[in-house]
Amino acid sequence: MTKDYFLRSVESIANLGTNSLTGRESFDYTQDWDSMAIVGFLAFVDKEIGTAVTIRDLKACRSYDELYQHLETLRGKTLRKAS
Amino acid sequence: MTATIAEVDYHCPESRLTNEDLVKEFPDWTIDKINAKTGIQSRCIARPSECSSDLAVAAAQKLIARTGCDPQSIDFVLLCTQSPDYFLPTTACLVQERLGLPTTCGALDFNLGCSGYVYGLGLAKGLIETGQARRVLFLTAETYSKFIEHDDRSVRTIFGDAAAATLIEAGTGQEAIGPFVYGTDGSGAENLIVKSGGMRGQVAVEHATVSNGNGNGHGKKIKLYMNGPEIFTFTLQSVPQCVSRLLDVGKVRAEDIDLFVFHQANKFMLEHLRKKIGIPDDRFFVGMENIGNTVSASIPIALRQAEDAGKLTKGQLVALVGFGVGYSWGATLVRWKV
Repeated sequence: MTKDYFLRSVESIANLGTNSLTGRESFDYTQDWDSMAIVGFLAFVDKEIGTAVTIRDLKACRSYDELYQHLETLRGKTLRKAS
Repeated sequence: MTATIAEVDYHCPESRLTNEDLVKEFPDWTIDKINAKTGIQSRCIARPSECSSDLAVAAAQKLIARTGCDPQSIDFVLLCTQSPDYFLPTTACLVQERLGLPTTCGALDFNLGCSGYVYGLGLAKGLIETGQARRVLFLTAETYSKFIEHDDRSVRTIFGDAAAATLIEAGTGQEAIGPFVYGTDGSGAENLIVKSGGMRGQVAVEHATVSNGNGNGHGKKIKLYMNGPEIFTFTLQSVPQCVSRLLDVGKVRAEDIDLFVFHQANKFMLEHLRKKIGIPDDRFFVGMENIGNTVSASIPIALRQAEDAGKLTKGQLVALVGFGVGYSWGATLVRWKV
């Protein structure tokens, strides 16, 4: 998953403006996303990576860049587990 | 002796909460957005005076009229609800009297939510196949709307009120209900909870300081609280495993199942689970569009709808999967009306 794909997907799921995210923005899902956006994001991660991201994971990320890096780490773990 | 489902029927209250109604109250949402995220266009809502026993009795009366079953022949009532008329007496006892069932009839309530239908089938099967009963009236009835704060839009979009009645009888043919798989994880209790009403809740309310009025039901401790993202995460982890266990225990392949009927949680979640598990669209039933998530009544309502739509016929193999509050989950196979 490229960073650009991640950012454009998040914009769509959370109803943010197209191309509004660079990754450096601060991230606080409790402020920026409603419950439907959170559930949409959880489904997106499950579909793209094949594993569930937890709410604790979301709480720990302070920027969209951190969130992206966290997902990439999760994806690596999932791939290693599968192989 | 084997237990078999003879018939299913249901009753919904007349009042409706539509997406148009919700958008009027919450103008930053749109009808399309609610449709896309829930798959629900309107929900059945009980009147203030309408309680679970009223819905259950109405559903049972429809069932009795449809089947011509003699109420005197019913020898056990199981009633699943989390919104009983009273702390006590048992709602099933009220229903026994109102339906004119014999006083030799056993009756009990059990408290489960979205997994309740599967558990109830397990109890009914146990009663019948151990010779304790021959004809079980199994009722699932909920009025969750009475728990929901008016300003809590996230849960108001989801839940509806309804009751379903299932007649389970003793037969002599092949096994028609089962096997079962069950699961429980009480660590998720706080993620879908009504804190008031029970004895611990009484203490909580007495010591509560100020209502924060944030509309999520948690600050006030007197209404339904649902942490949707946590519930969604739970379903992603538990439901695919539950289905896999059911297929293993039942010694069947997914291709052998004619229809999958999951608890009708919300369409977005169901579609995601369907794709994740790899169930073809034409063997997966969703029927909550104009009813809402009716908790333990959702699976039997979907069964009735599927049969009415010609998608479920006698002899077909159905997989039922319930999951939710508790956390609690369960699944079973049903050979339909054999």
